[in-house]
Amino acid sequence: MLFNSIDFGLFLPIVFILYWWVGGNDLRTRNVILLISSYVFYGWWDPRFLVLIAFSTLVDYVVGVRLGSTSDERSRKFLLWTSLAVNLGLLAYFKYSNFFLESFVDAFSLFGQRFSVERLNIILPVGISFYTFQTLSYSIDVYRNKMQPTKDPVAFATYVSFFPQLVAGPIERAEKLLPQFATLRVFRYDKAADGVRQMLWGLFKKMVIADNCAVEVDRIFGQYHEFSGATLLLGAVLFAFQIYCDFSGYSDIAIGCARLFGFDLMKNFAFPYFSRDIAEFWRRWHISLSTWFRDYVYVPLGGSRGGTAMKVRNTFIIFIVSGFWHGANWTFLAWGALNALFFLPLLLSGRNRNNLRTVAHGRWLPGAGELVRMLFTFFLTCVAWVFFRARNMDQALGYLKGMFTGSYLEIVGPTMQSLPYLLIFFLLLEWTGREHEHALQRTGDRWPKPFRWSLHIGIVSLIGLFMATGETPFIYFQF
Amino acid sequence: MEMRRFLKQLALFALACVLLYPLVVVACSIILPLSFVKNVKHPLGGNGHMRTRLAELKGHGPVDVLFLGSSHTYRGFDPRIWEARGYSSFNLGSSSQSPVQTELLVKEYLDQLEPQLVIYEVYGVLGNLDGVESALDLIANRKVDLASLEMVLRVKNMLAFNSLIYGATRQLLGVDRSFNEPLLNPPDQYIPGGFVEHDETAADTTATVRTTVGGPKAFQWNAFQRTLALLKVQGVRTVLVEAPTTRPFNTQLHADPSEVDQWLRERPDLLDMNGAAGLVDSIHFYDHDHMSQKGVVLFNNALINTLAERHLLPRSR
Repeated sequence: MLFNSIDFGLFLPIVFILYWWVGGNDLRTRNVILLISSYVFYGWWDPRFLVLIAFSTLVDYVVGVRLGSTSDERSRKFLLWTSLAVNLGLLAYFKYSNFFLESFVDAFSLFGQRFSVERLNIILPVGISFYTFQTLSYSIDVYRNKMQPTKDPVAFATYVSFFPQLVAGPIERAEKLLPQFATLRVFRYDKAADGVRQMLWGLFKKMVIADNCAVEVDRIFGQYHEFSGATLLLGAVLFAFQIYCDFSGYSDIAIGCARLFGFDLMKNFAFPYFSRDIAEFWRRWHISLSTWFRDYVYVPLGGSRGGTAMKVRNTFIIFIVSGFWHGANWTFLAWGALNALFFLPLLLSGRNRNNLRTVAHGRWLPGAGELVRMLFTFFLTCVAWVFFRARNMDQALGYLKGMFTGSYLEIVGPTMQSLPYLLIFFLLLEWTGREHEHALQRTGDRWPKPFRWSLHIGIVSLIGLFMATGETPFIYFQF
Repeated sequence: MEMRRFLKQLALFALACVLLYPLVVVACSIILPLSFVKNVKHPLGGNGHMRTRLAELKGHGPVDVLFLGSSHTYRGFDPRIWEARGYSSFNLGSSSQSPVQTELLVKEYLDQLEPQLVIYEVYGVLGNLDGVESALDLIANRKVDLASLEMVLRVKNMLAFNSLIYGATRQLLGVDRSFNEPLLNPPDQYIPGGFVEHDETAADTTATVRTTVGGPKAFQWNAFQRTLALLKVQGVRTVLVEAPTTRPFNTQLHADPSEVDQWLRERPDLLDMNGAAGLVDSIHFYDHDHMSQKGVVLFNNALINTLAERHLLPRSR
């Protein structure tokens, strides 16, 4: 069930009513309602996926309970490895089997051994990368004694499958989200109203900006060898907007939706394109995944505590693993490695934490230097996005070659005349809201009601007038 | 208390949106160039001369044969040929007409035209159409009424919905009243009786064609079945005809048959006219799925002969 579908438009109010009225003040009933709703939501894609998520939930629940009941280190390690093996094994099978198979064949062909292997007919369950990481964090945290295991199977199953963030995050940590299932949620007007505003902004980003950029991006990437350097740069820029609006749009809808039910999810994007260097960009992009890798991969590897060689190694590992998490393709690995290359000079020179405050804090406009640094950082991310978007390495390298060597005297603009104006509108609102949780929060807090409502009705109208009219899934569902 | 306040504010906001949204649609469509507003279109005249066709229907008497379907229909069934063979007819085909629009037109004109035979042109993708192009055609060129609204609600598409708002406003203000659709739009010419003649032959119709087929959309399939049922209830003989298309197009269409295609193949009353009229791709078509006038003449005569052999032709009035 897509957030931007009529199905979800009907599903959400029904669950909202059931949750607050039928659920009454009984915590368990409310959790059961959320659990059933989440399974309906997930099963809408393919009921077979439910078996997988139920199995993953069961394994980690049992592992958690057993971890809590034993202090024997060998048993605890065995339980942790069981959780890791089951979750990462499922992920490896469903997501990476064909990649490993093809890479194996390619590797042999380098030595003159040629043989063909049929691809396995495997359907990638939607959102498996997200909920797998979420359940893993629980087992690891319980193993590390960072939290007590839950003994409430309903609360745990709901934590794993909570529908707002099930298929594309934010990837919530158990220690933050699980206790919310153990506490009776109270409806708060401000929280719910702001949740609706955040959902509205998420829908605008997805349906107007991302989906319309996608049409132009598909055209330019599909025929990249026919376009000038300037047009290819435009294609990369539009993809930067597409991927950001698609994914952060989903996160906005997820966070806003969760707030309707009294939950607080973590912020997943903090206006990353207003970053002044790549380190700041990575503190603001897909925060739940970056911090997951930081806490469960980077820090255990030694983080940035060791010498230069260790820092370089760990940086490459975390970026490449992050790339691999996105997809089973060499292009994602290249995307990760390139970001590591962009990040390392800052880390090694100790300037990776220079820009901790939001750009132009307390001011309307950035300084000239800040603007130049923002544009340069944005350009670097655009170069890296080419690998992310390309079908294969040949296309990515061909595209970049055309972008850097092609003519900048001619450009084929977007076929949709209104797209540049919509992008300006979007950037203006994001800029004004950059110090808040989401772009519309500031207007919700400070603007008088007539102005606020005018803006929100205007956004509703823009969605209706400019949305893509076909069904368009979110990009991150494939990860 | 907080919940009550939330629901009240949400309901008020929704109401404000419902009331103001149509005004925004109309204002944007008037102030900005229509090409700028992505989800509003008003194809006055359109591609298929629907405006002229519907205008001709005003006061039109009963006919022997009624043709229904897409551009294959209004470019494929020539009432002059049927007239010469002794049958009055009217061609109610329109651009990308999908079952939802066919149903609307049948409901509107069946009693007036009282056909004895309906020739419903079908092919494999009929259930897969989203129905938007044809909805826009009808909104711009037919009166906007409750049937239009029902059609748009079935199609469930924002472009169709916005265009309905804009079309209704234009109708209310009488903006389109003075519009006269030219009958001659070379190389197309509108022929009385709903047919559009295209007297050209394409240089190349043999290129491989890619068509998208798959399971039918439920709302289209249901509309298709309802239309067939309505015609049956009214006692109108209905013949499903697959009009000729070029060999590559037809091969591609049936290579990976859709569910609708399979359903059609199983019907004993389907007349697949591909190969039946002796048409040659390079002579009798002007693109991969539309006949030139030379092809139309051969096809219509072949169809009439086939119907006669099967005793499916009505008695001439």
